[in-house]
Amino acid sequence: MLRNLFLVISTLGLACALATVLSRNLVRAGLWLVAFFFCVACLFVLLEAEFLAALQVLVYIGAVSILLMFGIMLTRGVQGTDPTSNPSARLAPGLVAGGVLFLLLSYGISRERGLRTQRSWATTGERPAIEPGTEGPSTPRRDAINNMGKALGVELMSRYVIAFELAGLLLTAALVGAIAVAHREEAFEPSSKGAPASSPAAESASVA
Amino acid sequence: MTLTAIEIARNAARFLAPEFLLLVAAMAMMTASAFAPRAKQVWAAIAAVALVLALGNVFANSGVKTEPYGSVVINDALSYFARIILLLSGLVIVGLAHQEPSDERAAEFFGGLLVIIAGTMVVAAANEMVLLFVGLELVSIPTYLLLYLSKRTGAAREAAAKYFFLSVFASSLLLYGLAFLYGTTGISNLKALGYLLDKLPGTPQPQLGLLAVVFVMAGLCFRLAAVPLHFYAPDVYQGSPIVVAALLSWIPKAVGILAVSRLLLGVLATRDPSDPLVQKAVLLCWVIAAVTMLWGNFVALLQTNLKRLLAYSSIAHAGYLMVGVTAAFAADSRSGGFFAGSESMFFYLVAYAAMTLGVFGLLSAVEIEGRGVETLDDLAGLGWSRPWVGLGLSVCLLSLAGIPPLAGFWAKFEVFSALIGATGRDGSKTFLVLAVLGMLAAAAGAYYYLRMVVLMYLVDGPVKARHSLRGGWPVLGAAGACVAATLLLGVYSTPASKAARQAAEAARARPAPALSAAIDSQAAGPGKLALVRD
Repeated sequence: MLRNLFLVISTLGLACALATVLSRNLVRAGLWLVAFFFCVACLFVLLEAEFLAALQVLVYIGAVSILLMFGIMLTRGVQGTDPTSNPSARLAPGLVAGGVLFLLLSYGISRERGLRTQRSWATTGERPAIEPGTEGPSTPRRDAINNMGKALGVELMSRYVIAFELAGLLLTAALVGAIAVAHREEAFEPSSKGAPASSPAAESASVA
Repeated sequence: MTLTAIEIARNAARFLAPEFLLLVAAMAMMTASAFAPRAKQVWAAIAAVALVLALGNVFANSGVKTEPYGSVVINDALSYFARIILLLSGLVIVGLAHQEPSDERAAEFFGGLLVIIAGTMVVAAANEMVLLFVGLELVSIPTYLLLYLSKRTGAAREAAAKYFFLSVFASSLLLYGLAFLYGTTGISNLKALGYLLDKLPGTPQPQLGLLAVVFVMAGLCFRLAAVPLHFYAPDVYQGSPIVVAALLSWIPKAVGILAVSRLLLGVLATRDPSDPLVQKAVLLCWVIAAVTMLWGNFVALLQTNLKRLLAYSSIAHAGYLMVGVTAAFAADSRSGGFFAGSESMFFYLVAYAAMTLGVFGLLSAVEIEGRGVETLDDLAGLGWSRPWVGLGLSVCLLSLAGIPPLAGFWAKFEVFSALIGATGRDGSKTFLVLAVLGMLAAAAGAYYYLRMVVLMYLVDGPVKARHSLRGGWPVLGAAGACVAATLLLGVYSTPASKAARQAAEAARARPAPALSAAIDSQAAGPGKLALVRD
């Protein structure tokens, strides 16, 4: 059952990813990407990572793809279809790169032999339970799985607190940088303050 | 004594005080500039003061205890010396750049510079994949800013866009590799990861481990400007201001080497050289080193634009650094040269910092007929019109070429002797072949460095006084310090060698763990340690 569900979701996901790449219309490609993000969220649910699934929907579908749409719309000259791209010219190198990546991954993953207590992934149809058995005293591991948001929050605020805070500073620096880069040269002169800000917005979108 | 996670984090925060100081100073500068505009010299001075304060803080905090198997940072000789070198080089770069941005953008420029320095220091001290990646991004995101902030020409825009897209691509490759590295055991603490990989037979799976090594190396090759991902370098160097090119030639390389030694060497290189994964890593580094040295040096022969030439020179030096990485991977834990590879790599990095910043700095200090020097021909007669600048430039160029009494010679010597020393008991000739290829490439490289020296002294004597100086004392002082360091490292290299040796030992040290403590701290969270328990 789970296996069939996985096959259906991953097929859908692959189809959406292909449509993203092959679509000639940028807006459509962006929408296909949203569908792909949703399939990834479904995969997270299958892996019992519901919190990550929710984050995937909120952050990727809710924020990243909206930003992408804004980026497409605010970029002058590109209204949906992109007449300048010539996909056939990039077909061969793209195929080579994709093929090499596929070979590398399939080599690495199919030759995996599994840890001592488990069988290999390659020969396992069903994903083994993350925590064996549901009875018995509660373990930290099971608590973490059942209470994923809390576990993540505690980790972010204790062990990973420094990385978390640094990432905040990083975002601030990126924002300031985006504004500084998007600032027009003449905007510093008092005469042209309040100039229309269409292109800086597009630039800041691409930087962000 | 078992510390709780929050106590460990508190210690780590105390240890990272210099980085936080730099970041806070950067944020304060960026915010204050909107309300209190000042001249660029003021912002440069504030940045320099912040760097000096951070340096004092590094010395003051050198005794902080960090938990090797629990903390996100590690206080060892590598982080100590690397942070000192990075702060000093940051001072040099501030000196070189103090006139580069316009007054309006100076606060953002120097703020971005401080963030970059803080990011490199985070990478040097990181003992955790997540923190290391955040440090790498702290370096790369402000770099995009610096590339486009001070000079807004079409070429600069092209350079910034190229660098941006490739850097994002490289970061994603690195992140992919980190995911595989994490997946081998489910632990992101690097010392603990290395310890477990050693103790558990059969982990990582050589195939999965290979995926991790390939993707991590690919991501870091971009930072090093090593061959498969080097091609951005000439265009980006050419399009960006010379000070930013100087920054690009040093900071990403330092970050790349530090990340390699924390992520791969510290984790994998304590294994036996006959381990299949280590063998594959050695092969990968061998190929990258050989191709990078040859490509960088031979293509540099064809260049006439100074910045492009120096870009290829920086690619070539990435090749020599990769030779050190190869030797470090191949070192046999039972032979005497166990630390020689890492040691030579760190020494090379320091010497490279001095000589490349010296070359870029002196070039930025010279102008010809009101514009900066751009092509090789602009250098003609510099040795006579500006004797001191010409002399300093010659010292740095000869050092880059590897002429004996200078820093560059000892760096190359150490790298190649470490490589030959790493030849195992089986006596295979593969490392000898790499050493010979490296010597050939270095000989080709000597030609273009010497050609610049010859141009300065032997060509076009009568055109005196065409060159004039610009930038004032900070530029000359910073560049002069680099020249002095190049000379000093060549004549008296013992302290630097000793520091590099200690750093190399620290990078691989695995303090005897209170293993139960490490497992407790991992099992307290949703870590996957249960997977690897027998």
